[in-house]
Amino acid sequence: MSATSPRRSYQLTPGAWLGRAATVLVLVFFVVFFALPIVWLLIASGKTPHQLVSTGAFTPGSLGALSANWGALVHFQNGIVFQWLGNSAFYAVAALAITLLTTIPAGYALALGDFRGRKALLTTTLVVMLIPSTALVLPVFLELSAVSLVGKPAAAILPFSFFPFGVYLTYIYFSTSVPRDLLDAARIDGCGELAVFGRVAMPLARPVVALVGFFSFVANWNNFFLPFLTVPGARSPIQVGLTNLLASVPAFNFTATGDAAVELPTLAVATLLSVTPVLLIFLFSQRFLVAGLTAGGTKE
Amino acid sequence: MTTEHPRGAATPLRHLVVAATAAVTLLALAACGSSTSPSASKSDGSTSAFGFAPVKQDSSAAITVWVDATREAAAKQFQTAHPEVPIKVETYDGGADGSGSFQTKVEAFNQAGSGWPDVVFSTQNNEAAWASQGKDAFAAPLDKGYLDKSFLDGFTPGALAPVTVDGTVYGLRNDLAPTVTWYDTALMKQFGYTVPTTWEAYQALGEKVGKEHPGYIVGTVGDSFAPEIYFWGAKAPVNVVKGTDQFSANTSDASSVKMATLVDDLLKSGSMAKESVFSPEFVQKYTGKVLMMPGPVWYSGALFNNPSSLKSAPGTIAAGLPLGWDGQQAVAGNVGGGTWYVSRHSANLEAAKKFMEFVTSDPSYQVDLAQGLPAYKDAGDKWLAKQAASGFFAGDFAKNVSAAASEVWDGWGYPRFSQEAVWAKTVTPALSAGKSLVDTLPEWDKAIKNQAQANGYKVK
Repeated sequence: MSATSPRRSYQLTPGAWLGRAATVLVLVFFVVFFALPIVWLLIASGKTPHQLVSTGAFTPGSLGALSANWGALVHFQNGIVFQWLGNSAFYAVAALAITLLTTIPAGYALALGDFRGRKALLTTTLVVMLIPSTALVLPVFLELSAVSLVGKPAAAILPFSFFPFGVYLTYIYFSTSVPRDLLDAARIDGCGELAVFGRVAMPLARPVVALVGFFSFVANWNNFFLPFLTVPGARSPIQVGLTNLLASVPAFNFTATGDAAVELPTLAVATLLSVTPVLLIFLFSQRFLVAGLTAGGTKE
Repeated sequence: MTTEHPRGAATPLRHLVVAATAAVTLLALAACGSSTSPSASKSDGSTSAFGFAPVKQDSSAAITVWVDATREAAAKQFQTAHPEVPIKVETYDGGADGSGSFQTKVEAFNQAGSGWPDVVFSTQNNEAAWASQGKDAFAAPLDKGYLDKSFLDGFTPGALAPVTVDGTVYGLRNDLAPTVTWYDTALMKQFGYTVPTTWEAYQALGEKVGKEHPGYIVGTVGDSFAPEIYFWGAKAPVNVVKGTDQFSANTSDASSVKMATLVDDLLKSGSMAKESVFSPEFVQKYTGKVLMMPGPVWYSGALFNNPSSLKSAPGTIAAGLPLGWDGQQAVAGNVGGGTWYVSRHSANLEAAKKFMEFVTSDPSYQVDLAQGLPAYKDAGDKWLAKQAASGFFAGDFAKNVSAAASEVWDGWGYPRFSQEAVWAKTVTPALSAGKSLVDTLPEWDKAIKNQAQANGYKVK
């Protein structure tokens, strides 16, 4: 068979072959560049502190060591890591709920509404999107302090409920993927504006809701600097908690000793634990996310 | 205004937005405004009593204490011993590894005009340099009537130098980290060497080790705190602070050049490592091969008596006295040691005082629980006796460490910037690239002075 119908790849010209080889090389380079640190982190979490410094970087550890590292993490400040995770989940989900309640209608109104100041609002949304969140930390902190919210959960929820990128994503989606005629048809059938939004636009917007939700959740989950200032100590989210763990590693803090000292493999376990929720959410919502990302790519 | 926005429906909304914006702005401005003189506005006028103007005091107010994870035990021990004192304990990173989180947070609270903690622990010993300065100075002076002189006199001589700015004490030292001369008694005996007592003899021994026992080392220069071991211990004037704003560094001084030459010679002979003591390479290459190593007292637990590091056999490692130049008195360097500060804004200074005195001097924490050498002399002596009784160290551990603790050279200052960071940026890469330390001295000198200038010092 192969002699009578040679496979297409055998017919590659030397130039095409070189091109394909170069592509593979580039892909392998990037896979190695990005995947190796993650592989190392996974392996490091299963080593003893001594194995980490005395064996090869990619020499596997053991389940026993992983269990010991997990035990050390749970032992640190009586399992405060779970409190940090709980705080993160509470802050991220609460901010996400407010984000969805505000950004989806806002994006819908900007895309399909016709009101005075629409363009100005849209431009403002774009401009605010470009401002790095770090630049807003001090003014937001002062604002929170002025209304006595520092140290309270609202100090980590309210600032993250402001998500202009979500407004813009929703605007793009509604502008390109929901035909105005469909909404007009609903109006002709007697739907009010709220019903048009709730019964027609929203069911069509599930992919973008998932997308905005995912981006918002990830941004909330990963945010560090503002919670670092506004919700210290036991009220910290996991990202701030990780720095507390890092600061308890003797290699970074000579004064960290005794029960409160954290070894590097324990820190690796904590790091993996901190990304697990985002990873799980991504895996379970992948289908919606891809649909949301590609929506509006073509227009008929 | 109405002509620009004729639609009646928009006007109330707009007014609401404008009113809300104005309200938030005014609140923020009010907060900023109050930060200019928080203590003055709340002062009860008793400036002279403590050397600063305390805010209105409330003996039932809970004190907020910031500690790192390691010092949480101190706060808990205090809660057990003094359940009558209301206290809120918050853990933070302790400013470890130069994170600057203490300063960052205090500056944010200064802007807001509220929110300061009452007592703060820091892993850094140069916090007083900024915390004592400016119109929003955070740290309360402690030796102007707030703490008893008899209590302050109980600290090991020189222990409070890092928290003393322009003659005033702004904090308390938690623990000491003088450098000693660590050595392996078993290897010394096996090789037939005697322990050097001067830098010159140390250099000669290092050269000999390089020839006779390649692979064994007498020290490492790979850590960012290497200047605090070698140059501080050599009395090199490369980190001199005078008053609050004058700084000088002289890397061409005879002591600086002599020490740089010593390091170069030992690097050349192979008996001085370039790896950090915390690096995997160091543990892999030098476990069982550290003949000597000048370094801080906390090497005991971090390296020698640590199953994850050098894992030395009990009874082999000794802490010798610090080395000195031939004919000169030996001095010790210092690497680390935590510090405690009380806020000027505290509304319960009496409780804060009780806490500060407890955590720095009470044996139930400093002797029974703390891992570092207590800075408070009485607790320090008891802690050393306890360590010596454990039998891990050879030689007269308690006597030598105690002597080193009181021999820390006072010519090395505590500026508002990190010498370690400057060394790590300029010298470590040069040494790794094979450049000599003597040749790197001008570059290091320039980098130190630039850093000092950037931090507002007048540089000589």
